[in-house]
Amino acid sequence: MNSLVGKRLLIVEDEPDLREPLAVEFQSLGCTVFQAENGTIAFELSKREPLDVVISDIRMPGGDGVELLKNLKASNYAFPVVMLITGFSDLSKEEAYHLGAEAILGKPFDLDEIGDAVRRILTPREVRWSVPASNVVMEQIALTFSSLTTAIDDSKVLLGRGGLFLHTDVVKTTPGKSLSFHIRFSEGDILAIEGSGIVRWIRQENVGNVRKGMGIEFQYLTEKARRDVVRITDLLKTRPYIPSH
Amino acid sequence: MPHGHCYLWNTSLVATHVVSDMLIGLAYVSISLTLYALIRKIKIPFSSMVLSFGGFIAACGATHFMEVWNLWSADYWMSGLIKVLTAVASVATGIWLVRLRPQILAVAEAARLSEARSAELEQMNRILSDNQKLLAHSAKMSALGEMAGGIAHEINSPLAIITVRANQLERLQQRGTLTPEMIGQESKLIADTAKRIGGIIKGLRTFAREGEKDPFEVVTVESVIKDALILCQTRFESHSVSMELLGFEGNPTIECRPVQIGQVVLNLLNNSFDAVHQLAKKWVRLELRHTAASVELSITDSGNGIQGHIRGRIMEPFFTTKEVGKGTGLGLSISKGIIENHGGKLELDTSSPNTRFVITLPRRHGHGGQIPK
Repeated sequence: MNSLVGKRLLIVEDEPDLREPLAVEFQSLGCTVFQAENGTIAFELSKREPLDVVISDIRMPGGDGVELLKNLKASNYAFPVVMLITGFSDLSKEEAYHLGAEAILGKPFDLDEIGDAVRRILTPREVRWSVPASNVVMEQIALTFSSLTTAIDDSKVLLGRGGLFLHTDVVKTTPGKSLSFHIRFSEGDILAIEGSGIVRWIRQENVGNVRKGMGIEFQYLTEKARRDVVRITDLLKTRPYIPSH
Repeated sequence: MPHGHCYLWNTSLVATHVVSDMLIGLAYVSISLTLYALIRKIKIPFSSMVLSFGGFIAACGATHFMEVWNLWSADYWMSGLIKVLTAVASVATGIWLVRLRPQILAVAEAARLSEARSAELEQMNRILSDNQKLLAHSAKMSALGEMAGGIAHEINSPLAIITVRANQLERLQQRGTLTPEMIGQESKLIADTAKRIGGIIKGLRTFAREGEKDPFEVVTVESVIKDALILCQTRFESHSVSMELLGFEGNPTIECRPVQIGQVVLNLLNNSFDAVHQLAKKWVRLELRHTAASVELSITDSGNGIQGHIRGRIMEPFFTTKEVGKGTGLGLSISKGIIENHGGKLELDTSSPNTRFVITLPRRHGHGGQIPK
């Protein structure tokens, strides 16, 4: 699998000792690589150069990665896809995914990890979600609502470009664990969202109107659900990758 | 008839009585006088009772003097009169004493209580001083907690460099394109980056340590503040707060507990960071001046100084203007304590248009500040 050939990639990192070997690596994988030392320079560059993916550090002098992510997603909800790399950030995963980051990679990481992550987020979603998880024992969650629309209106299910928020009282899992979900609706165009994913964050308490529950990144969706999720989120120009609220 | 006749004027018997009665009388009088003098000098509870007791004893003394007098002159009426007076004084004192008994007991109880209370107070003081030490430590730890995220970032970033560089070497080796020059260059970079992590960890260890009982060492001022700088440099850089160091060229040395002085500098730098990182102009300047006897390290930031009404309070324990959870209000008071224990001063320079703290320290400990010849 070499889906990176010909991809246009921007690396935003203030440490040249890290930025340069990353550039060399992605060039060797067939990408056209651009480099920027902070978010401000990166955003200017993104206006001139069409990009497929931006890999950005969060803390940088002269323009941080979160600001860059917001700016990029304000211009276009879908592209370029953005991956944040972070040493330890003031930004929670929940916020980062809500702002539209497609992946968050913690430092230190190795070249294989970052390569795999970029390959994954550049794979079209229908393809990305087509392989069922094999032989993995995982927690199951089954919920039924009257319709997707009412579930969304009640903030019980929120759909993002790469995952969903589920309001649930019973949480028998931890972030990073796989989970299979069976969400059924009594009426409407969409009668089920079924598949499996990785729990990315858990909110233990209701915070005002924001319900407790968990953020799940899709790993596999049934064929019907795959088509539905892509169609709906493109139609609504959904910005969050996994919505938080 | 004089009383001496009863003793048949036996010289030895008369002398025995004279000497005994005179001594008893004098002793009584002197006891009374002493009691009187004591009452005038110090406040004693129930002093009038003591006075009446003194009067009764003096009267007893007088009866003994009369005994001697009557050996030769039979003034028995006079002697009787004095005995009557003595009887009145002793009965009155006796009755008074009995009636005062509950009050005396109350005073004794109060005294016992106050003794217990003072022991209790001493105990409380001990607990308080222990707690203050604990608080000082926890203040430092909470400052450390606030910095933990930044420190994790500062360690994880060089770790990422090392990992990625090592991966790259492996890839080049697998492709057979690795040259000896590349190996040399990359391994140097990896080693330097690892050293950078070592520096951060050393700085961290320095800050987390007590340092209170460390020996005084002669070190350069620069080396003392280096640990503090390592811990906050990246945070300053990532928020575009510029840092300027002036006057360090001469490399002056001081005799101090380096860990503690490093902690004070870090504390002041953290305060400066909190104050300026959201301002339009954000800078911090460390400036060093020195004479033969002392060094003066000032930390100035782009803030507009400390407002007049809180100036007097900033060094007080627990005083803070930071929002809840951001500061403990112990940083400056602890810092001031550390500097004063070094025989120096930590002051706010109110004449500066910006916020400026000045640390003055003697260059040598226990030599009147002078460098020994």
